[in-house]
Amino acid sequence: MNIKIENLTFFYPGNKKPSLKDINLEIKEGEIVSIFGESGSGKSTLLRLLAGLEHKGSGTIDMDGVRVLGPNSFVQPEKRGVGMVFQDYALFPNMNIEKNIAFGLNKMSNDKKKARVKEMLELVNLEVFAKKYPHELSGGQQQRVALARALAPAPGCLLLDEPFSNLDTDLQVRIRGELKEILLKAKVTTIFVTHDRADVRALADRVAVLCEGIMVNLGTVEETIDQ
Amino acid sequence: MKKTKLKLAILASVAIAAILSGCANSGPETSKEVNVYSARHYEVDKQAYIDFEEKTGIKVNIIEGKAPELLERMKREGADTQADLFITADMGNIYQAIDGDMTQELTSKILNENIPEKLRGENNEWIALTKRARVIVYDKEKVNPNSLSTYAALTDNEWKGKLLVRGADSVYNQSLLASFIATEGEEYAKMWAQGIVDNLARDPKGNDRDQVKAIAAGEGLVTLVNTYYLGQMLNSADPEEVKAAQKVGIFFPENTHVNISGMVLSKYSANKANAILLAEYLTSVKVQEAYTAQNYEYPANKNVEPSELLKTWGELKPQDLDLSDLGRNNKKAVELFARAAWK
Amino acid sequence: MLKRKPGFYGIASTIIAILLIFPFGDLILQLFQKPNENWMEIKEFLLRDYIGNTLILVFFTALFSLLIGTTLAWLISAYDFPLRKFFRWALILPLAIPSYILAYTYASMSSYTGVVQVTLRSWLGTGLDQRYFNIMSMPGAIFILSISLMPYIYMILRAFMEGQSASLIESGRMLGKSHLGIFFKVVVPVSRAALVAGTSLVVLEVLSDYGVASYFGIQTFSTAIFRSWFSLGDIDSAIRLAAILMVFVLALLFLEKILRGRRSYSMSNTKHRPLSRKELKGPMAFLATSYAGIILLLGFLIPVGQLIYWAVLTYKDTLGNEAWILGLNTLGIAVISAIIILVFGIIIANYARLKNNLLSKIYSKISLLGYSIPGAVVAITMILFFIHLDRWLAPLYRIILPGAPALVLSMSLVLLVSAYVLRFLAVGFQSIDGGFERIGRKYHDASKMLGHGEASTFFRVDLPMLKPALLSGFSLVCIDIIKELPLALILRPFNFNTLATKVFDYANDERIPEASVHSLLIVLIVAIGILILNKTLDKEKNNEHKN
Repeated sequence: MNIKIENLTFFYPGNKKPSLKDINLEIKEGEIVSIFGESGSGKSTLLRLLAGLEHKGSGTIDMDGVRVLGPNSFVQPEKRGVGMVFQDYALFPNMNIEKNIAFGLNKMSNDKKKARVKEMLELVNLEVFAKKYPHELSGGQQQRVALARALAPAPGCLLLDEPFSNLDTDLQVRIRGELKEILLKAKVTTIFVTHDRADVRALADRVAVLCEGIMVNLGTVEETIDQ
Repeated sequence: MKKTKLKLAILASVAIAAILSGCANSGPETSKEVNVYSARHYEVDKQAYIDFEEKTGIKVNIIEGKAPELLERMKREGADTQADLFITADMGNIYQAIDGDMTQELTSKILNENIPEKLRGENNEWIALTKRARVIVYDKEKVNPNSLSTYAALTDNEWKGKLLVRGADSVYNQSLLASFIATEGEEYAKMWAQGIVDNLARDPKGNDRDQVKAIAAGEGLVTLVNTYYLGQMLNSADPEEVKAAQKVGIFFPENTHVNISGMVLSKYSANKANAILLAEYLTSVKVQEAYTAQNYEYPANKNVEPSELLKTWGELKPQDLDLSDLGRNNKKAVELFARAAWK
Repeated sequence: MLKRKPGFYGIASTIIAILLIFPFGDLILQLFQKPNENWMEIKEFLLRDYIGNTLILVFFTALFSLLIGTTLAWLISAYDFPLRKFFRWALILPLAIPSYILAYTYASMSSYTGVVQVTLRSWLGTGLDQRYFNIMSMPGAIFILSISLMPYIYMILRAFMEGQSASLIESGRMLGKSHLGIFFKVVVPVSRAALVAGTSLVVLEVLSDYGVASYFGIQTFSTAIFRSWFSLGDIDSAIRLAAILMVFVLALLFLEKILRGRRSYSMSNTKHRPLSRKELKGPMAFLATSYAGIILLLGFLIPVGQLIYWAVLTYKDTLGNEAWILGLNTLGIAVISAIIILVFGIIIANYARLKNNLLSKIYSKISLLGYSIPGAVVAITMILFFIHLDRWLAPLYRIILPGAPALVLSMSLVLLVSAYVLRFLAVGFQSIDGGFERIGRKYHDASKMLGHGEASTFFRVDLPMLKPALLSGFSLVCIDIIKELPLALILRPFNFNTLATKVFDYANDERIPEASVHSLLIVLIVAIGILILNKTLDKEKNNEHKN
C-alpha cells in the first residue's frame, strides 16, 4: 500500500498546543517505516490517525490514492484495510486464540477461514496453542497472536504500536528477529512506533523522527538516528 | 433522519401502548365496560365487581389508590378522563370531587328507591354506599359506661390525662370536627378541639386500631374509633388483636357522628349507562348485606339491616345534618386543629 | 464516504437525554410562577420542621448504617469466626425487605398485641410502657431505615476490602500495627471513596423514603410533598418543596463527586490478592458471631419470622390466584423496565466511552437525575407530562382508531414503565458504566482495526465482555422496581396492581397480618435477585484475580 500524508496537524480537544504539526510523509508499497520519538512526541497520535481511530486532524491522508482523511472525507477504520498490533495486544479475553485470529475474517466461507487461521498460526509458530485462551499464553506468545490476528485479513498496511515494550529485554532481541522474518514473508507495508533505537536498527528501512509534534528528521537509519 | 426516527419511536410506543392497554377502548355506543377509580380496596368490593361482571357481562376496570391521589389524577385528566365512577370513603373526599366540578348527577329510579334521601346529595351529586359511625371506645375494666354521655363531655376535667386520639391529618377526625362546625358552630368546635387536646394522655399518633390497642395497653381510658375497625379486630386472624378488641366497649353518644363511603359519577363519563347499572348493583340488597356482614359497616340501603354484630353494639342515633357540610367545612376543621395544636 | 456523521450512539443518546429531561419542563415552569398563600405559610411555619426532621433522619440513618455496615464488612473480610461464610452473603439479605414492610412489621410486633409485648406480659405479667417504648417515632424510623439500608454500605465496603486493600493492610501488618489499628489508620482512610459512595446511596434512599416516614407520622420533605399535593391540593407548593429537595440532592451529589475525584490516591492497581484473615478464638469468636447474628436477626430473621407467622394465620384468605397474578405483574413490569433501562444505559455509557466530550458527560449526568428525585416527584412529573403528550398525540390516535379516547399512553402501562425508566436509569447506568470502564477502549479499537463496524463490534466484542455488568445492573434495577412503592401506587393503570401496592392497600386499611403473604413474595423474589447479584459480583472478582 502506498501512503501519502500531507500537512497533517492534530489537536487533542482542550489542548492549545498541537500534538502533530504539519507532518508530510510518503510511504511506498512494502516499506518498513519506523516513527521514532520520545513519549509525548506525537508518534502514537500519528499511528492512530493512520488507523482511523482519531479523525479530528486537518491536512490529508491518502491510501492507495483514496482520501481516508481530509476536509470532506473520512474513512472508518474498519474500511481502510489496515491492520494494527496494539501495545498491550488487546486480545479478546473471551475468545480462544483461533477465534481471535479468525475475528477479522468476515466475508470468508468457513473452510477458507479455517485454512487462513491455520496458515497464520504456522506463520507465527503457534499451531499447538489454537484452543488456548490469551491469559494462558506468555507475553511473547500473546504478541505473536496479536500479529497473526492483524495479518490474517491480509491488510495493505500493518501498524505496530510499541511492539516490544511489554516484553523482557532478552525476549525482545529474539522477537525482533522473528518479526522481521514474518514481515518479510508477509510482504506488507509496515509502520511501527517506538522509542527504542534497537528496534529501529533491527527492523526499519526508513525512520521518521518526531519531536514535540514536529517531524525533525526523515531518512534511512544511517542518515538519522545513527548520527 | 432524526425526525423519522422520532416519529418511528412515537409510533412504536403508541403500538406498545395499544398492546399494553389491551386495546380496551372502543366507542361509547358499543361499550361493554365501566371504569372505576376506587379508594375502597376491600375484598367485598372486589367480589361485588366480579359478581356484577358475571351478571351483566359488563367489564369493570379498576384503578385503586388513595382518594386524594385519585382525585388529583381525575383533575389533571379533565375532560379526557376515562373514569366513570369515583368511589371513596369519607364525605370530605367526595366533596372535593364535587367542588372541583368533576361530577354529574347520578340518578335513577332504583338508586332513589334503595338509598334514602339523606344519604344522597342534593340533585344526587353523590350516593352513599355505607355509613360509618365514629364512636367512643372505652376500657371495659376501668370505665363505667354510665359516666359517658356526649362527645362534648370528653372535654370535662374528669378525663384529664385519660384521652387518646388519632392525628389531625386523619380525615375521620377532620370530618368529626367539621360536623361540629356544621351543627354547633365554629366557636363550639374550636373549644371542643382545645378541650380534647387538654385532656390527652399522650400526643396523637397511630391509626384507629392503634387507639384500641393503646386502651388495652392501659395508656388511656377513652378514645374515638370508627366502628368497623373494631369489627375487623374482633374477627382478625391474629388472636392477640381479638383479645385487645375484647377489652374495650363501644358507646354511642347522643348524635353520633356518622360519615359515609360513597360514589360520584364523573362529569365526563363515557359509559354513563353502565356506571348507573353498577351503582344500582352496589346499592342492591345483596351487596349491601355483604358490606355489613363482612366489612362491619352500616348499610346505606334502607331495606337492609345492620349485621348481628353491629346490632349487639347498640343502636345508632346519628347526628342530624346535611352530610355535604362535612366536606364544606373540611378546610375550616383543618385550621381549627392547627390552632388547637392537635398534632 | 460521509464526513464525521453523528453516528448512532450520538443521535440515540441525544434522543434519550431529551426524553429524560423533557418531563421536568412543566415542573420547572411552575417554579417561576408567583408563590401562593399556602406556600408563604409553609415557608414561615413548617419548612423549618421539614428541614429539621429530614436532616435528623438522614444524619442518624447514615451514621448508624455506616457504623454497622463498616464494622460488619471489616469483620467479614479480616477475621475468621464460626459461620463467617454464611454471614458473608446472608448479611445482604435485609435489603430484600422493603423498608416500609419492615416498618409495618416492627410497628405491629411492638404494639400492644404484638409478639414483643405479649411475650413480656406472659413472662413478667407486665409489658413495657408504650409511652417509653414506641417504635413509631423518630428513633424508630432511624432504626428501621438504618437496618434496612445498612447492606448497601456493607456490600460496597466488603467488595473493596476483600479486593483492593489487601496489600495495604498487609504492609500495615508488617509495620507492626494491630488489626484494630490497621482498621482505623489504614482501612477507613483508604476506603473513603467506597464509604462516600455507599453513604450517598443510603442518603438518597432516605430522602426519597415515603413509606416509613408517612406510616410513622414523621414530617419529612417527601411526606410534605405528598401532603401539599394531595391533601391540600396545592401542586405549586409541592413543586417548590421538590425543588428545594432537588437542590439539596444535587449539592450532595456534587460533594460526593469532589470527594470521589481524589480517588486516585486510594488505589488504582488492578492486581490484587485476597486478604489473609486472622482467626478469632474463644470469647472473641463468640462475640463476632453474636454481633453478625444479632444484626441478621434484627434485619431479616425476626421480621421474616413474624411475616411467616402472620402468613400462616391469613394465607387462606389472601393467597389466591390473585397473589400469583400480582407476582407475575410485578416481575413482568420489572423485567420490561430493566431491559429498557439496560438498552438506554448501554447507549449513553457507550457514547460517553467512545466520545468522552462535554456533551456525553452531560448526558451521563442527566441519566442520574431521576434517581436523585423522590418517587413522588417523579410521579407528578410523569402524569403531567404524559397528559400533555396524549393531548398532543390525540389526533394521531383518532386516525388509527376513530373514536379513540384522548388519554391512551397515560392510561397505560407505558406511563408506569416510563416512570421506572426515568427513576432507575441511574442504577443500570452505573453498573454498565463501571463495566465499560473495566473493559476500556482497546478491544473496541482492535475490533474496528479488524474490519468490524460499530454494530458488529458491539455485539461480538463489547456485549460478551459486558455480561457480568449487565447481569448485576439487571438484578439491581429489578430489585429496586419490585420494592418500589410510590410510583406504582400513583401511576398504576386500570386493573393493574403489583405486590407492593397490594401490601400498601392492606396496610392502609390497617390490616398488617393480611399483608404478610404478599410481603413474603416480595422478600422471596428480591432475595433470589440479591443472591444472583452476589454470585455475579463474586465471579467477576475471581476473574479479575485470574487476569
